[in-house]
Amino acid sequence: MTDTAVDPAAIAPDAVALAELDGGTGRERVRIDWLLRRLHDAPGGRRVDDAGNLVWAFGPPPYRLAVLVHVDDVFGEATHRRVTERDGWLSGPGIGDNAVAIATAVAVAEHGLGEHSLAGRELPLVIVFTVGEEGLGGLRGARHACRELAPEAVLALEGHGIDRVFTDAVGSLRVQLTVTGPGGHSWWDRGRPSAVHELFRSACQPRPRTARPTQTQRSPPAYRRSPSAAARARTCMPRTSGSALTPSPPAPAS
Amino acid sequence: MHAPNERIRADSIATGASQLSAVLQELLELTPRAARN
Repeated sequence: MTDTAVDPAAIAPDAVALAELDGGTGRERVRIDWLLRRLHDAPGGRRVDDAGNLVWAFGPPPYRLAVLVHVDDVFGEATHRRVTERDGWLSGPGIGDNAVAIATAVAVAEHGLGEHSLAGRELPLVIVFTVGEEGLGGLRGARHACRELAPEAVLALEGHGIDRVFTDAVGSLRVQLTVTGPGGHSWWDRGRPSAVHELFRSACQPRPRTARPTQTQRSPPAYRRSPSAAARARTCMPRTSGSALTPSPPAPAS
Repeated sequence: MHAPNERIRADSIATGASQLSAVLQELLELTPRAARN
């Protein structure tokens, strides 16, 4: 393995600068623009894709590897974004999730690929600074990048786990439910099922346990063995008869 | 992790940068473009 020329001390200033910019989910453009300026003279080619991701390619497709690094965080516009450095710790909103990862990817791509970095030689590598990773973003940018670039392998970079490598994880599945019922008001609708009561009752019912994924048990993924979104949605539908205080029967096995 | 006072140790950045560099080099060297073409 080749020695790297990455200086960790040089990563912190970029991380701090990024973390102190607004960049909540849906407001990533400020950070994308900062990166475009920061990488103006860097090797490779850069473009902003239809999802708003910044795609930094080191050669033409097909790509052996895509490194995905999300640029959004969970904090609102009113958050005071100030990062402090003390006793070997960087502290502040978004510094670990995910400003450090962004800055590390930049540093490694610029200086940590040995002769490839210096020569600007073409590589089957693409780094994507993605939008919409947190919360209701639902991995929007990462999904778009994987569809568009179709890399052979993907490495997702997170600041808080940047010194560890995980080879397995559960999937991410988001559903939107609308629950309605005839009840609601504590006086006028007493005795009629409330959507809120039924929703919580359904959520508290036991679910089938799923097997823990292992290195040798990957197909199908564990999350695909869990109840389908449709099945879970069905169990959350309120009943239209009976009292909201009557215990519901167990959910049907799926 | 999602807290206004989240923090990260500087030495974990060093480890992460070193590991990322090693992983990228290994992956890219194992499958050079010339060999795939």
